[in-house]
Amino acid sequence: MATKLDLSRWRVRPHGVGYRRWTILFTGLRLLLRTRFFRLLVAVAWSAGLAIAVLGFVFSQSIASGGWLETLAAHSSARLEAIVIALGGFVSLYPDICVRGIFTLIFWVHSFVGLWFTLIALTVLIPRLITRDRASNALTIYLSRPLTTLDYLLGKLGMILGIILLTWTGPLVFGWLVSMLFATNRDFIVYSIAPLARALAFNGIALVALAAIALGVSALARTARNTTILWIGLWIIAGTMASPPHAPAWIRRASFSHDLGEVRERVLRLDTALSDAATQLPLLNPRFATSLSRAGERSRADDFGGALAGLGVFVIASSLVFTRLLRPE
Amino acid sequence: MSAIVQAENLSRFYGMVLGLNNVSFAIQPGITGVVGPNGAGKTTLFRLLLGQIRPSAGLLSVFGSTPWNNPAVQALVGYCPEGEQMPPGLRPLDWLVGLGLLSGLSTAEAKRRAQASLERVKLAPEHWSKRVTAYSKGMKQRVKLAQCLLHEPRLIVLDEPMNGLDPMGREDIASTLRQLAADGTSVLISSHILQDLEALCADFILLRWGRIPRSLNEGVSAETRARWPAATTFRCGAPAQLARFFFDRGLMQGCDIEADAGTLHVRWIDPQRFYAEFDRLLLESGVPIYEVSATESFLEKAIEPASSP
Repeated sequence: MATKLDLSRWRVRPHGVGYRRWTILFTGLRLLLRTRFFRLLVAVAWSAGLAIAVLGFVFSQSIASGGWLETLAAHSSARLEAIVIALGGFVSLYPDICVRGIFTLIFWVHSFVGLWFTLIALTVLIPRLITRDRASNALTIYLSRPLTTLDYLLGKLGMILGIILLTWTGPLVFGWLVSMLFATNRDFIVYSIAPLARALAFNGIALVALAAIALGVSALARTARNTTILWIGLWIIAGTMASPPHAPAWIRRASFSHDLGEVRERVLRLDTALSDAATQLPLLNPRFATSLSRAGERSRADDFGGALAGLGVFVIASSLVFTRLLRPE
Repeated sequence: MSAIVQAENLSRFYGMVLGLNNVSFAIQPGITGVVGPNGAGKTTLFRLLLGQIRPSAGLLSVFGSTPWNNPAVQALVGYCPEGEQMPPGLRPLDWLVGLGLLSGLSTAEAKRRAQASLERVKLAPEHWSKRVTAYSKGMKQRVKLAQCLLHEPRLIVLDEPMNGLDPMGREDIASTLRQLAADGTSVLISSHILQDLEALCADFILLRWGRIPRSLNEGVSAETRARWPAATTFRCGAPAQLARFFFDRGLMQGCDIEADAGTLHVRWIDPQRFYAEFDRLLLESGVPIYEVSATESFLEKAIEPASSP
């Protein structure tokens, strides 16, 4: 009997590899955003972005003649009005030091908040990243699809990137953009670009380090509980051990949160911003100038090279773990 | 008909451990059974076909291309692994849609095919939105089979798909596979339930200790399978009377009677003589017959030396 088969279904060309990587990223983030805790975390993280915008707005109003800050101060007391006017004068005379210094301070504070939110988000994400696929052996099924291990890892890396964008970089850029919308002159944009670029550079370094560590930790353990314990051990326990001021250098470098802290101080340059303010601004109160200088010294990175090497070791070791455990054979 | 899979002197070693050792074979379109004891190299063969591991030596081509790390070949192959490979807590429909997207389908197409696949494996729609943790083993097997049909592959590789299924479930899956084969999809299946494989497969590959021994594979050749079984088992009302009947007609070489079970195992002098007119002979005997089957399947017979020391 002659049979005629309809084989047209095999001539349909599916989407390419970029689509498949995007699927891993998008599906993973969508599942994560279904959890109430994660939605709350993202909302709080964006509130921090809003706080940046509010601070930037308040600061820009300080030099606007007849702005709401000056009006408010005039209604309160003559002394407060004088302070506000003096502050406005400072910013007008020394926009490079004032605008750069204030935005460095804002981004420095936000880097703590953003990093903290990212680490909490990663605690939720890491067990779902690779551990669950390995524990249920679903990885065998995923890799039997037109998907290489590299595609799989790039998709997972995209998930981490998405998390950092949602909890850290997004609010940061959003806050800066909104505050610039209400800026009273160009100086705010010109002199806040450098602190923003440094904040984004620190963001990038943290992204590389945290992505590698998260993938390594997620690939290492085979149960969600062990993965969470391992992550918390690396983050909180190693961080606590590294926090005493007289802890040996190798213990401090063994904590990625300490290493990131050192990198933050060097990249964001809060010490330079404070020292410049103390030495170049004509501050009438010498004690205030001394306090600024001391604060600048305290925020100086003592062991930047060691911290960078520590992060490098973390990245290399983690990459070895996940490439070794996920290689196709 | 050209072969869909071609292997020449194919070997795969895991360090000092032997996976497959210098095997050559060709797989034709249709349903092919892969038989062998545990550790014979079945899963290694499947992983080589799926491109998940690289051959240590030799050549392997699937649809004319090397499968190792080759998404173009992987897009044409579906795999249903042996174990329970589903992330707990997920709903099968969601999981299948996600897998469809991973295969490069659009969301709408992935949803349509996920539903069609679940229907095809006869999983009732009321179970589609339940979490797989609440599923029985048989239901999980059906979901696993559905995921490998999702992207409509040209070759389906099934590792023990009948495990944990009751006879009706096994027959459902067998009929699904027959339908797929009729639609032009090739199937490569391993199972320890040899009767199912015999009923399902047009061709066989017998593996032992990482090799494909010629003697074993001759035992399952089409020519061998065309021969009548040398021994037959009858479940009947009076086994002793039936044995006497066959003996009187000079058909029987020997027999075993299990009176309690009402079973008679007969070894024929010339099976052709019995099977040529078995309906008339059984009527003439006057014994009520409940079941007639080959005492030993050809697959059992072929792999028998493997299990004996």
